[in-house]
Amino acid sequence: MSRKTGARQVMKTTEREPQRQKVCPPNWLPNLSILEELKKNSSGGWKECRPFVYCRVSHILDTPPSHLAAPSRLNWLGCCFCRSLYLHCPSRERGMPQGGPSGELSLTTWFDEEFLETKEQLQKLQDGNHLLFQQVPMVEIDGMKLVQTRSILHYIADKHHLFGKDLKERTLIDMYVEGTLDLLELLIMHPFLKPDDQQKEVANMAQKAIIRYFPVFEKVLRGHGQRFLVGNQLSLADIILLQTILALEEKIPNILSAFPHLQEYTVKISNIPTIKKFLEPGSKKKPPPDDIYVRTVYNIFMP
Amino acid sequence: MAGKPTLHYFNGRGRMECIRWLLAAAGVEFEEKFIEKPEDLDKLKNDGSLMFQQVPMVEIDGMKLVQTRAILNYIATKYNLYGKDMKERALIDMYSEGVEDLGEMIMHLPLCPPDQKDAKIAQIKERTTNRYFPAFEKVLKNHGQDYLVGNKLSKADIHLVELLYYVEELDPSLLANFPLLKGLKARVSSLPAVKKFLQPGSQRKPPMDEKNLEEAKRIFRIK
Repeated sequence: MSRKTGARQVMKTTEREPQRQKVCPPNWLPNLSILEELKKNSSGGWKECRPFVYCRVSHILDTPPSHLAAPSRLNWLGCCFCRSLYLHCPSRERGMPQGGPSGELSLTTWFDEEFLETKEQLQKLQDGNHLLFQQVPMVEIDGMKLVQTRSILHYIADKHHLFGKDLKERTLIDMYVEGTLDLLELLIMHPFLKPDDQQKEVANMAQKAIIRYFPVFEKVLRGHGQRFLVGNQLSLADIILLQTILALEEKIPNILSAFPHLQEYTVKISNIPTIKKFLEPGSKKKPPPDDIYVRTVYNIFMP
Repeated sequence: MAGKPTLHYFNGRGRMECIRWLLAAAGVEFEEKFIEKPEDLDKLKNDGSLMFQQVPMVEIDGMKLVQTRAILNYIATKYNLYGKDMKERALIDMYSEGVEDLGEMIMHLPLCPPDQKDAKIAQIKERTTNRYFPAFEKVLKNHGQDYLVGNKLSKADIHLVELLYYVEELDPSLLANFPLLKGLKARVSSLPAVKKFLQPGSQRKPPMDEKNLEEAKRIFRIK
């Protein structure tokens, strides 16, 4: 059975399915047999394509949204239910996606969000035993209810090949991420400080960034002259650093003025197609915290 | 083969103790270079040995690792204490992070202003008995296995047992209603490497007292 036939067969199944839903029905199990079929029938290495995503449901499929601009010799499979995408390279030799290191063509993993707005909603999650330590964030992924920000980040990074190629690279990424998260933590807590303390804290964040953290990354980039922090490919370290830089720039616009390599780096990483899309208006990226945000958080989380 | 890992920190628990526990449980001998005065810390900073000008720092396998979690993850991976696949790693991470959250509260207790201390202790006890201990007890109950993840010792078990000892120091009665946690504590404590670490004269550090606190404040220039 050729790959094409396999795909067509599956599409027939899809046509019989009820109309498209936005969210994967939580009780459905991944239909791995379809993926296995496609893998078997392909001449190319699925494993060579990095990164790719397993849809929870594994139902197929349609042409990808045009804005993703996939090269034509690659076949995209998009789940019409949870909208996760597969990248199937037709042959091993032609396996490398066009457009540069595989980091550039990392797939968009679609995700859905359930927003908490009231204390009762949080209570419901807690009473339903969905939250291991009664806390959010919580991400339902691959049949698990993951909590604890770092665990979630690590799992996603692992799964999507954003954690380096070996233990040494992974450890370097870990160190950079942990350092950056220390700085990001200050930004996260900032809206909840007393108004009098907020201004002082901006100065503290700026100082930490300029004296402790940015020099490290500037030196790393200057040292190896590569586009990414570790191993010449996109990793969790780049993503967390970019997020932190952009969030800091909202408060201190010229924070990068003494760091030319970081400036160039920020532009380059921001232009990676998936990231660029996320930075555009209308994406799921959340806006800077405002008073409504602070009030909502207090309403939900204060005892 | 590389020599023993060298730990750079002051002579107290702080953020290095979980690393000491993990190395000890893995049966890895290590050396310690204690920071005794602010000048020692300055020297490490000026040497370029500390990536973010902070300790803990562990010299291991030709690297100068910083950031507690990065160090723990490296040691756990190297000594097979991090599960067998991504999903087990995710569980181990989740459990370790929960332990770390409670551990952080306990670690900061000595720095708490005296008028807030009682409230803080009450909060720690409440979280322990209502949030964290029930979560881990349930994990053990659900699968009925000897260890938290994958029926095998992992860093999650070691971190949790370390925490159980600290909770016991705070209030021994807190563990009373959690038989499976008590079982885990006994089981892990009787592993030869851990048993050795628990004996007097090992590199395990005692609870922080006034003197230790003053020393730490002096070294890290905390007011």
